[in-house]
Amino acid sequence: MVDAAPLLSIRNLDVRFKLRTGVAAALSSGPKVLKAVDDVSFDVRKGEVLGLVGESGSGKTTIGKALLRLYEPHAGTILVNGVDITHMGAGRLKPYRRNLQMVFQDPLSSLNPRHTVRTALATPLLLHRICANDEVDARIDEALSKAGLPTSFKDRYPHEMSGGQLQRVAIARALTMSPGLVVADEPVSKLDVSVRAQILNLLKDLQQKFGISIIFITHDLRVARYLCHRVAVMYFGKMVEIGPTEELFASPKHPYTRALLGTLDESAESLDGGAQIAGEAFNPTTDSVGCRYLSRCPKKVARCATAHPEFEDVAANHSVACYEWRGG
Amino acid sequence: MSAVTLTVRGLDAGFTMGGSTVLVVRDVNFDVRKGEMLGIIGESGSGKTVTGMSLLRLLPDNGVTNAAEIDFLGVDLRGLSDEAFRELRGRRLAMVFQDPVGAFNPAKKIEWHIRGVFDRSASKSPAHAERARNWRPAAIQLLKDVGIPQGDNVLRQFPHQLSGGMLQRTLIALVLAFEPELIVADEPTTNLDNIVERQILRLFRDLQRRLNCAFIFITHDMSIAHMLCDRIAVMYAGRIVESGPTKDVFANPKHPYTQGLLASALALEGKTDRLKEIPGELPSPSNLPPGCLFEPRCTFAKPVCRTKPPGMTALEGGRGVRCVLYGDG
Repeated sequence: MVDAAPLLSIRNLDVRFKLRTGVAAALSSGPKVLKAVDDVSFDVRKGEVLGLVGESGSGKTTIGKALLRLYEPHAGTILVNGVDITHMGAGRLKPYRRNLQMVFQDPLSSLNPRHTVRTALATPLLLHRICANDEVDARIDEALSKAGLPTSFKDRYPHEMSGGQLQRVAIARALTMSPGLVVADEPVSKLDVSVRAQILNLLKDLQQKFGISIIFITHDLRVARYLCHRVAVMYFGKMVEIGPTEELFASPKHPYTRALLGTLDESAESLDGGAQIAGEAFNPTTDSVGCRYLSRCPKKVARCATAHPEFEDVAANHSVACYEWRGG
Repeated sequence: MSAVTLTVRGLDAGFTMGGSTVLVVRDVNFDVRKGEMLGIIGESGSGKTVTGMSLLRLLPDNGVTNAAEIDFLGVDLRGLSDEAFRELRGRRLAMVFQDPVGAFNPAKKIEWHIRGVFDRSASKSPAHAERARNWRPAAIQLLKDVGIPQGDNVLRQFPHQLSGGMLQRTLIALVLAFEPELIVADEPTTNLDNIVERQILRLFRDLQRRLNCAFIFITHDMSIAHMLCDRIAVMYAGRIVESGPTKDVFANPKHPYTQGLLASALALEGKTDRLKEIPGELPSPSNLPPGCLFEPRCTFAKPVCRTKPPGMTALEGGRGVRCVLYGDG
């Protein structure tokens, strides 16, 4: 069940990438930084699955990597169980690294092709001194069984496994650390359709059994609805709406969330009627003061061009960043 | 019913590696009619892409294609020389790929690509010849037709300056200008975001209606097939396991594989506590089961399924299924 205390708190997170450096920066008149994540705040409670939904380039993966300190944030704070890890040194960070694990989109490239499954799983166990050397094999067997793989897979190399099996190994590797939070970045988008359901069910089972918190990053709204307690919608670095899954799906407030949900209609007729999203998307390399969704928004008014809207509460736990959310 | 544009019978395709041939497509049969959109659905490794590539002779050098019949509007495609085939491909047959970037010459502007198409089709009619001479207004109109209002600008840009959605639109414009009689599109929206994907699917449908051509749409996504296609053929491990009108197959899938795919796809549409799984994984093409290819994963498997590969059984309403539950063909 979901516990009230936040395991993770992100406050005003801001991640920027340099587009041009050195001489190129001095000579170019263009923008020098890209705001990949712009002033994003949210909590993840213990045992909660939070979905980060958005298109490519919306900053969802960047958030995931920044909170694991794989990217250095430009500003903002990352609190884990109330402790600020934003600028923590590598030594003190180590136990937090153990507590925060990641499962990547492409399992083949996240495993070393020259290491067996045993080596891949033993390395973090030894690095974090989770158990004595003679217990390592037993730990690996346990993790593989939890992930639904026979223990004989220990001696396999990545190329000897299918996509679904590789993703199970990646999940097993995260599990060996008994993490409090797992960031799962599009873990099923590269898998075959007939295998996808297996992995989604596995993640759901493990989450419920061990009460792990998961940040589930996906572009697939259906998958988000299946797994997540709450869903946050990202658009070009900004979080535009966050709320409990069922409520967000039943009564979306942000025009972008509505447009996204509109793509769930799969009838042949849906291609004929209905409003199309017109206009080009926001260009993140040009600085803009207004709402990021302005160029595509059917409900824009004059003040949308002046500043990106602040979050407003719609209902309990449901907030939206839009000036016009009340109007129908 | 309109005329058949393409007839394929007994198509085998595969690759030669180190002296032995591995077939990844076996005994594929289908027709596509003028004005019809046929969806070929399958997972990665099901042979759907190789089917499309082999029909357009785009397999790499070690590719192998054998067929009892490939008939395109009365032309036996098997007998054509490579040179004659090249003339056909691009004028009357077109393919749209998953990655639009690879379809463009990165060193040339968009206008160069469009003019190339105009020049190649100039011999079709006097109007086409005029279009090739006075190309700019026609090119701008063409881009407008695929939802690019600022065509004048786009013509002067290089492919890398356009977004994925814009490039895919431009590619569709090129296909539109060719006016082919058969289009094969292989996962053309997989790299795009949901909302852009929706726009591009709409364009494909408009394109097909406008040209009234035969269209083969290859995808792994059941929901896209549902929206776009008149008929579908479901492939598994290189074989078509079920085919029929889209509505009927979705309403009442016959093959256990189709049933499994639809069950997990439909469960994701609404709210559900648990997804239905298809156990196991796809077989490797070099190590296929001797009987039915789906037998190791099938919950209805009988002893006979393990030894004898089932034939295609024709059912009412233009449907077909490769499964002993419906007769052994």
